[in-house]
Amino acid sequence: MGQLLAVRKGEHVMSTMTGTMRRTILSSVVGALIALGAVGAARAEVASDKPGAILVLPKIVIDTSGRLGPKTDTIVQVTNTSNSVIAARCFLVDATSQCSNRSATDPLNFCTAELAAQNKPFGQGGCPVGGACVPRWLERDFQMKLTKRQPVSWKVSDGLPTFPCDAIGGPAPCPPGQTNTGSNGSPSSVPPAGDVFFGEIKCIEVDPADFKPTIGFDPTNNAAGDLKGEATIVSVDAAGAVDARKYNGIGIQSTTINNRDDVLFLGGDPAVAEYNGCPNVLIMNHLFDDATVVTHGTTAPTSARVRTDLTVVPCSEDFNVQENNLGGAVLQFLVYNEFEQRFSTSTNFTCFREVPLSDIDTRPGPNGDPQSIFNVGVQGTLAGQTRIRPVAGQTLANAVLGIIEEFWTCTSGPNGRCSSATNLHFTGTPDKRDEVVLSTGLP
Amino acid sequence: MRTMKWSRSLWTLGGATFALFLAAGSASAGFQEISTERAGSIVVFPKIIYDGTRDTVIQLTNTGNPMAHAHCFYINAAPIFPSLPPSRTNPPQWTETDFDVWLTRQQPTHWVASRGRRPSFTNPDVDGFGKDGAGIDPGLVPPVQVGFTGELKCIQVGDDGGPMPSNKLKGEATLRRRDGDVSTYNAIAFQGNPDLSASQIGNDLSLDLTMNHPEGEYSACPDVLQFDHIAYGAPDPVIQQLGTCAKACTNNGNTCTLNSDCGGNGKCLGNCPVNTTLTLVPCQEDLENQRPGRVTVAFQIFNEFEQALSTSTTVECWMDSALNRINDSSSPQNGPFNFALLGTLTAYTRIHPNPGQGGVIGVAEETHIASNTPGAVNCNNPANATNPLCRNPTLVGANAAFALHTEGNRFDAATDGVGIGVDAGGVNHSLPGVTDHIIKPGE
Repeated sequence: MGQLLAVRKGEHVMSTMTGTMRRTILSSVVGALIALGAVGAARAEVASDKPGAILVLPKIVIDTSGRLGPKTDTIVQVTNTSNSVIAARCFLVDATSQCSNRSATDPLNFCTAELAAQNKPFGQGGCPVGGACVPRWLERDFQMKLTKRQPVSWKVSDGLPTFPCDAIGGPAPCPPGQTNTGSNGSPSSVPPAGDVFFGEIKCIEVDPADFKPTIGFDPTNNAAGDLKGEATIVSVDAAGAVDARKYNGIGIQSTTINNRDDVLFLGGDPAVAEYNGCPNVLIMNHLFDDATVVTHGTTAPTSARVRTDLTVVPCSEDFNVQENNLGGAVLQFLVYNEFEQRFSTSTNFTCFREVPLSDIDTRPGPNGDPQSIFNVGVQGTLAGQTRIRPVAGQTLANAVLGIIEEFWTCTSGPNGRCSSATNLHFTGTPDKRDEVVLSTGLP
Repeated sequence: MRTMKWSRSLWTLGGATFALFLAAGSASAGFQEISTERAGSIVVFPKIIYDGTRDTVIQLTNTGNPMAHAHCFYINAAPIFPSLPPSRTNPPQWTETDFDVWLTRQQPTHWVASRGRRPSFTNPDVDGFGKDGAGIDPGLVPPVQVGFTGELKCIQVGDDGGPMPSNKLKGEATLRRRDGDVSTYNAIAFQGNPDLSASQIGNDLSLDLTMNHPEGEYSACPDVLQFDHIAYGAPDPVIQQLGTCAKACTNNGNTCTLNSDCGGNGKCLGNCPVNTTLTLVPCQEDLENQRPGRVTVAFQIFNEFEQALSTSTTVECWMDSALNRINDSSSPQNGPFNFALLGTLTAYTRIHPNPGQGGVIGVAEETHIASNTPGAVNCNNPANATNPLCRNPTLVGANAAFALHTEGNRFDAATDGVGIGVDAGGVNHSLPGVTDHIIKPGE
């Protein structure tokens, strides 16, 4: 019991108990600790500042050839925050849109709605005449086993073929017996993603003994989960201009129950909810598009124009049948400006949506942006608060998660743009649940 | 075998049911922890800068329908002699300037630290359509002086100025450099206990609200802060591949091709470093008597091989330090956060206060630089040791701010950062709780 609760700093602890017994005892211990008041019960919320049993990185971007803008790649960091060995089954979701009138295997077949609307050439984000830019959804799964407190990182374009404690050519300087190889001999690895790539990464914590979903292993956070992660999107040009933006992965905490099958229940009926529910409302503070912000005092001020992109991904996803038959929703937006004036609009999406704010309620592309309710040209004030609420389905909540990115005009960034990324605020939990269905291809 | 499986299932089901029953009967499921993604009754912006190079755009929003009134405090932590680095003989000033803001229903507002915000009704250049001052003025917000480095704290209050813990404030801060680089973080929100009145709370705000102490006033500070970061000075893998990353020796900054070109224990690495700056503020602050908090914190740093290093420092009033200078080492290149010592790209750091001391909160910022970034300096060259760019890496390159993760709380679940309870070796990792206080000036 003591081994489950605490590990002496630097001490190497080998657990001889099976994963099943360890989980059983841990859930009972957590319950007992709750009764004794030593720790609190799991919260019914998600968080981007606490570890979880599901980790979502909603925005991954690769464009190493610079076809859509400056050369860009994403660095992903994932950490096991607990003092136990854990594992994760992860899914790399490719949501890069493609032109409907070109072969899906054509390496130049990638597009975005905004660039296609601007009639960019094929191979630079646009489509040939007669083609439509259609979203797609392809997932590739991979697994990893992480030792105690172990961080790992990789560039998404390269993946991570060999994990640190499985060094090729000799023993890695990891503690004796600690390895990133699964209990069945399967090594941990991350596949490279293609170029160009827009998508997300989702990791589910599993028991390293059998790679089935589990509650967390750390009693200090009520077994809510042990995965944390960040994504850093870095762009660079040949002149040395660098741009970087970083956001925290969103952690969905586990409840104290898990039936260990591949259908994960997020929120909903507390009697069967295995994970906390996704939020009911996302709250976004932002500057309205094309707002001009003046800084650096009044004597020698400097100004910049700002644009914001919103990226959302569904909480419900079916990785088993390889098509997004669960996710997607109608999103309703309530927009408040600094006069307390309120506007509203709605949009829909299916699997992944990255959209400039001014394109939410207007046609893709710059035409029409000045007439958007997200534009300073309509709102008249610089700052706004937008509340995003997905419309629930008949059985599923259709909740979403996401981030925003701001793009400011600047002299130091690639193509004259400097960016920042921010996690969205959350509030509330829907009554219905969301579901994540894992692929059955266990290692 | 079947009998054993059935027994295990019973164990799991029984343990889970027991835990669920206890959880259902435990303290209220209301949200009590500090958060960077929920509205709260105290919002803290740990890093506000106006030093002539960087300025800060602050956004504050009332997420509720009733009007919200906030009493805000700028806390200037710039050293007494601003041209010299902070030290024992050059401590932070810790002077506070307070002001009030009023926000109507769901109203967002913004201001720039260097410019403040003045109520204006007749000047179209200030509050005309789309101008910086457009919107319902929240009140008179004073500008900060050049050289300001510190924090902003806003406490939700009622009409009489007494604390009102109705949890309606959220905020964001964007650090903008004169050349346009931007970096955004979410303010840290402390939840208040909405069942308490102003008279019950008084001006001494106790940070003792937890799941197990629902009668507390405001969220307890976290027991552990944690974050993933690139090892200090490690070459950015994206810039290495896509940009310019000329090789240089880690011990003398000379250009090189092989490790053997460097001599001694120097290594020949790409000079496109990622440098991380950490900002910490103590939770406890006496704003009435102008007494800052002081907390000694310990750092545990884990590399990708699960190897652990450690160091410590004291946070007095406010700390904003490049990671390699946290322990004020005379040879920062050999510090525990440095790539040369850690040996892996990514590290995971846990920060916990010393036993008996209060908590800290904060934010981190990464800076990415290419070797041909205009203004870049090789900080591994000893000749550049005193260069301001090597003490403050955010001055050149691309900055990206991100929130720290939290674990536990200092009030009822204080630990030494390793675990909870007594471990197999008889070491008790649980510590007596600590109550932090924010003492606001009386009305």
